[in-house]
Amino acid sequence: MLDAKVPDGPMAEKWTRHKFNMKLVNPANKRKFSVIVVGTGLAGASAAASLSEMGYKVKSFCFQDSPRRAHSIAAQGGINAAKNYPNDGDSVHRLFYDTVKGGDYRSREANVHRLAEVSVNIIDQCVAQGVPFAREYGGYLDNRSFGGAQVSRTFYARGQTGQQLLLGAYSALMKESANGNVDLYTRREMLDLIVVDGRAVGIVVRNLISGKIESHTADAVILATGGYGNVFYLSTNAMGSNVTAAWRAHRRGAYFANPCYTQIHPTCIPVHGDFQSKLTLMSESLRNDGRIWVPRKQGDTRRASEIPEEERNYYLEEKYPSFGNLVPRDVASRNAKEWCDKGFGVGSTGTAVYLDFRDAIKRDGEDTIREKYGNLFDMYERIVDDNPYQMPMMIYPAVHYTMGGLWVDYNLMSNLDGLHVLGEANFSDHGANRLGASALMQGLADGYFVIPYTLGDYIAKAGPAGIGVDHPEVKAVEEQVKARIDRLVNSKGSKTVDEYHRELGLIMWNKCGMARNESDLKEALEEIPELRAEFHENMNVTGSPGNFNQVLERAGRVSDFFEFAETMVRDALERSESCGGHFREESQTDEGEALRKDDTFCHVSAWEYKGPDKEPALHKEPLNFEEVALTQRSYK
Amino acid sequence: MAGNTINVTLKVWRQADKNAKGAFASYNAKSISTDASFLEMIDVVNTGLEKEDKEPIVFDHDCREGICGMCGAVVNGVAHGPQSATTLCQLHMRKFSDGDTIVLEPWRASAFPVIKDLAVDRSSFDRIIEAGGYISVKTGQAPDAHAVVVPKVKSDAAMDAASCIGCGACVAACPNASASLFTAAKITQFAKLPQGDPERRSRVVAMVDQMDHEGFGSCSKHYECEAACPKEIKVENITNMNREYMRTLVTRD
Amino acid sequence: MRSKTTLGNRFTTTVGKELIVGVTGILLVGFVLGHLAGNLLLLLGPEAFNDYAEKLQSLGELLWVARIGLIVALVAHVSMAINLARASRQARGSQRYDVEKIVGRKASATRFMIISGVTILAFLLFHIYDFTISGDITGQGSIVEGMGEESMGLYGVVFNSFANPLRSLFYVIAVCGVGLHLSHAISSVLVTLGALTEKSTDKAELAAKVIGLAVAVGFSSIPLYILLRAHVIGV
Repeated sequence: MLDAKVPDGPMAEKWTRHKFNMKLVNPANKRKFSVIVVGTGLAGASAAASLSEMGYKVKSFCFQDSPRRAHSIAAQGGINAAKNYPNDGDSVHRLFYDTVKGGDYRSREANVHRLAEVSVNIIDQCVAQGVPFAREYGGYLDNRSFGGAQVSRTFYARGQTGQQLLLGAYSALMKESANGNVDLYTRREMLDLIVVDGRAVGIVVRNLISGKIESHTADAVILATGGYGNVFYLSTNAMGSNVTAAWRAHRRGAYFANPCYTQIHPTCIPVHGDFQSKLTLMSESLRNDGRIWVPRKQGDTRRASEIPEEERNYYLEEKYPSFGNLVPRDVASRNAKEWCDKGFGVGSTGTAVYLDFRDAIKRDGEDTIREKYGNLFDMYERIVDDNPYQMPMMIYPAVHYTMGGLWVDYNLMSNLDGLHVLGEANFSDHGANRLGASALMQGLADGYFVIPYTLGDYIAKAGPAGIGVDHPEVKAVEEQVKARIDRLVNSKGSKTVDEYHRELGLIMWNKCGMARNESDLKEALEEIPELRAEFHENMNVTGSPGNFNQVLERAGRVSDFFEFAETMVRDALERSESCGGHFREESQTDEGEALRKDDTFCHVSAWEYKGPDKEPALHKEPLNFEEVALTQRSYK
Repeated sequence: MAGNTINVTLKVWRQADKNAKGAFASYNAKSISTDASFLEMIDVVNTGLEKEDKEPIVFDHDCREGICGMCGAVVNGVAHGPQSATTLCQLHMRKFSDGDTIVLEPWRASAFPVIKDLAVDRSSFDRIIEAGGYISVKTGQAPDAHAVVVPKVKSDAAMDAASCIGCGACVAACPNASASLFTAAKITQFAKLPQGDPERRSRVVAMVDQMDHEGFGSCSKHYECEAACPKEIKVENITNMNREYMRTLVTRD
Repeated sequence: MRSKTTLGNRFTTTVGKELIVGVTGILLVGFVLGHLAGNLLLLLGPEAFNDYAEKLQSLGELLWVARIGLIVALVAHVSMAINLARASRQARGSQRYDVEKIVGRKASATRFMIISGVTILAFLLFHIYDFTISGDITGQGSIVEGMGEESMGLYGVVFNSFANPLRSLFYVIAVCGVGLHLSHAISSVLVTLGALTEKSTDKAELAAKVIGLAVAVGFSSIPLYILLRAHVIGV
C-alpha cells in the first residue's frame, strides 16, 4: 500500500506542524552526511545550493557542460506566487484552489497547499539573489495575469523568467562550490541507481567526455532530472532532455506515477519538415490579443489576407463564448487538432491554425502590439520568415511538459528509501494538467523550501548509509551499466538512432498524443515492442564507448524511451477517463468536452517495474479532497 | 515560407580529442530545406555520416531555441554566423545560397580548449562565476521582496546585463580572446541592484582576477564581442566593470 | 566572497594594466596637444616661437620634472601595452581561425594600435635624438638661407630641418601614425576609465577621430608650411 505520509491536521497547518515534528540533524553533524543531486535545473540547483548551505556535503551532476544550461532556462512566461501585491484578492488558499482545480483534481491536496504556502518565499529569495524581475516605476515588483488566471500573481523577468531564476539558482550553487561544499560534476550522465538493502545510496554515471564509468555513493540521492516529453521525439524540451535517470530508478524499484499525463501547449511554431529536430514554444500570452481561426472551406489554399471575414471560422470564440481564445491549454490544443484532422488546417503541411493579430493591431495600433509581443514576433519571424504584423501567425500544439513522474510521498521521497525526486521529475503537484507559470514555482519550492527540511528528517532517522564505491553491489551495478553500453555500441545496423526515435515519437504522437482511444493505445502497445526489438537489432552506433560519443548518448536515451513508452501507453490505456491533459475519446460529454470519472479514477496510478518484457504492476494511491470540492470543468 | 532546397559544402574542423591535431574535412550537404535551422543542416550531414558508419560531427547544443547558450561555432569567420543577435541554433539556412561553401570552426581561445570537433570546454566561465558572480544570501535569509525598492531604470539595466547566456561568442570573436564582456555583464547586473552592493568591490576584483587566471586576454575595445553577442550585450558593461574596478582603488566593501 | 589581493595587486590584472595604459595615455595626449600648440607658433614667425622656446627653457628644474614624468608615463604606457598585447596573443591560442571577418563597429585603427604605437615610439626616439641631442640643439648658429646672416635660433633649426623634403615626408608619415593611434585611443580610454555610456559612444568615437585628424593635420602643417616657404613661395 502506498503511504503518502500526509501529516494530520487542518490543511493550512499540515506543513507547519510537520516541520515541527521532524527530527533535526545537529548542525555539527551535517557535514558528515553527503547527498547526491542529479540535475541542475531549478529544482536540482536550488536543492544542491540549499543543502550545501546547511552543511551537507553535496555532489551535483549534470549532463550539460555547465549547470547553467538546464532546460528550466527556456521557460518564458513567469512564476506564480500568492503574494497578493496587486491587492486583487489572491491568497495562499486561492493559489492552492486554482492549482488543484487546474490540475483537474488529480493532484495531492496537501502537496499543492504547501506549494502555495512557500510560493511567497521563493520570490523573496530570488529578489535577494539579484534576479531582475520586472518592476513598476515606483520600484516595486510588477505582476501580470497569466494563462487565464483571474488574479495577477505572476512575477516575470521580460520573456526570460526561467533563465533568470535558473541563473539565480546557478549562482547560489556556484557560491557553494566556491565554499568547497559542493562538488560539481558536469558532462556526466546518470545511467543507473545504486540500491543496497532497499536504500538508494548512489549513482553510476558516464563521463561524457572520457567515456569513463564512475560510481558515486552518498547518504541520500535526489533526482531532479526533468520530464520525459522527448518520448514524442518532437517537443519543446531541449534535445538532451531524457527519461533515463527516472527510468533507471524505476527499474531499480521506484514507482512511476501517472506517466500518461502530458501537457500539449497550444501556441507553438508548427512542424516544417522531416528534418525538424525540435519545436519552439511561444508564450501563451499571445492568446490575450490574437484570435485563432481556420478557413470555413476545407483545404482552402488562399492566403490568409484573401479570406474574407465571413469565411473565417473563429472556432474557440464560437464554441466557448465566455472564455473564447483564453480557454485552458488542453482545450485549445484539442480543438486545433480537431479542425486540422477534419482538413481545415492551414500552411504547407495542413497542420496549423492561424493566430491573427489583425484586429488587435487595428484596435491598439502596431506600436502597442510590438511593445507587448515584439520579442515573440521577432522570434517567429526568425524561424518562419513571415512577418506576423502583416500575416497571421501559424501555430500548432506541441508537447511541452509532463505532469507524471516518479511517485513521491509528502516528503518528496519515492517508495525507495533515500531516493528523493524533485521538480518535473516527480508527479505530485500538478495533477493531470499544469497551470501556466507553475512549473518554475514547483521546481524552486521543492529545492529551496521543501527538501532542505524533509531530507534532514530522513537523514536524522536513517543515519549514515556507510556504502563506499568498492562495495560489491556498487561494482555489480557498474558492470551492468558497462554491459549495457557494450550492447549499444556493438549494434551495427543500417538505421540511425534518430530515425528510430522519430518513429517512436510518431507512434506516441498519433496514438498517445492529444486525444487517445482504446484501439489506438492497444495498437501502440503492439507496435512499440516490435519497433524496440528492431531498434536494438538494426540501429547503428558509430564510434567507441571510450570517448565523447554523442550517438552513444542518444542511443542510451532512446533505448530507455522505448521501454518507458510502453508504460506510458499502458497507463493511458488503463485510465479510461478524460482528465486534464489526458483526453480519452471514449470519455467525453455530449458536447465533446473531457469527462472525468471520479468514482473510478480519483487516484494516482503508480506503476511498479516487474522485469524486462513483463507487465508492470499498478498501485493506486487514492486521492481525497478535503478542501476543494470536485466539479467538472466548464469553459462555455 | 520559402520551402526551397539548397546544396552547400561544409568545411568543418574535425579534431578527435583535446590533444589531437585537428584538420578541416569537407562534406556536401545536399537538398537542405531553407526552412531548416543551421543545426538541423548539420543533423542531416551527420545522418549521412552515421549511415556510412563514420563518426558524425560533434557539436554542443541543447535547447535549440537560443537561450541555453550551449551551441556555437564560427561560421565563415563570424561567431554564431551571419545573422546578428542570433545563436547558431536560431540561424536558418535561408541565410545561405545554393552552392555556398561554409567554413565551420570551433570557438578558438586558450581558455576554451577544443574537446572534440566543434565542442569546446567552457568551464572557465563557470569558474569566473564561482569567483564572485553571486550574491551571498542563503536560502531563508531573504527579507520580503518589497523590503527594498529598486528603481525601474536600474532593474531594467540589470536585466539587460543578466540576459547573457554564457555561450562564449564574445571570447570567440574577440581578437584578444577576452572574456571581458561576459565577466562585465555579471558584474554590472549586480552593481545595478541594491542587493549586490555589499560585495560589489570584492566581486569585481575576484572576478577579474579569475578571468586573468583562466588565460583570457584583455579588452582593447574592438567591439567584436558586442557584434557577436546573440543577446546584444553592450560594451557599456565593460565600461561599468572598469568603473567598478576603479572604485576598489578608493573604497572597500 | 573574499578577495585576497592588495591594493598594489590591483594594477597587476588586465584591467589594472589597462588603467595604467589609459591614465598614462591621457598624460601623453596632453603632452602631444601642448607640444602641437607650441609648435604651431612656428607658423606665426620666429619671434613667437623662439619666445615660447625660451620660456620653456626658463622653467629650469620644473622642465626636468615634466620630462621625467613624461618618460615614466611613456615607459609605463609602452611596457604595459606590450605586456597586454602579448598576453592577448597567448590567449588567442596557437590555432588561428581559418577565416576571420571583422563585424564590430571599430575598424582598422583598433587593429593597428600596436603597430602604430611601435612606429610612434621609433619616431619618438629619432625625433628626440634629432632635435635635442644631435646637431645645433640650442639654435646658436641656425642661419636660414634668405633670412639674413643672424641665427634664427630654434626656429631656424626647425626651419632648416624641414626644408629637407625627405625628412619632412618622414615626419608627416609619423604624425599621421600619431593621429591614427589617437583616433582609437581617445574613445578607448573612456571605456577603460569607466566614462563611456552606450549613448555617448558615437560622439566619443567621432571626437576621437576629429582629435586624431587634428593632431595629424596640425603637426603636418609645420613641415608642409616650411617646405612651401623654402621651395615655392620663398622665405
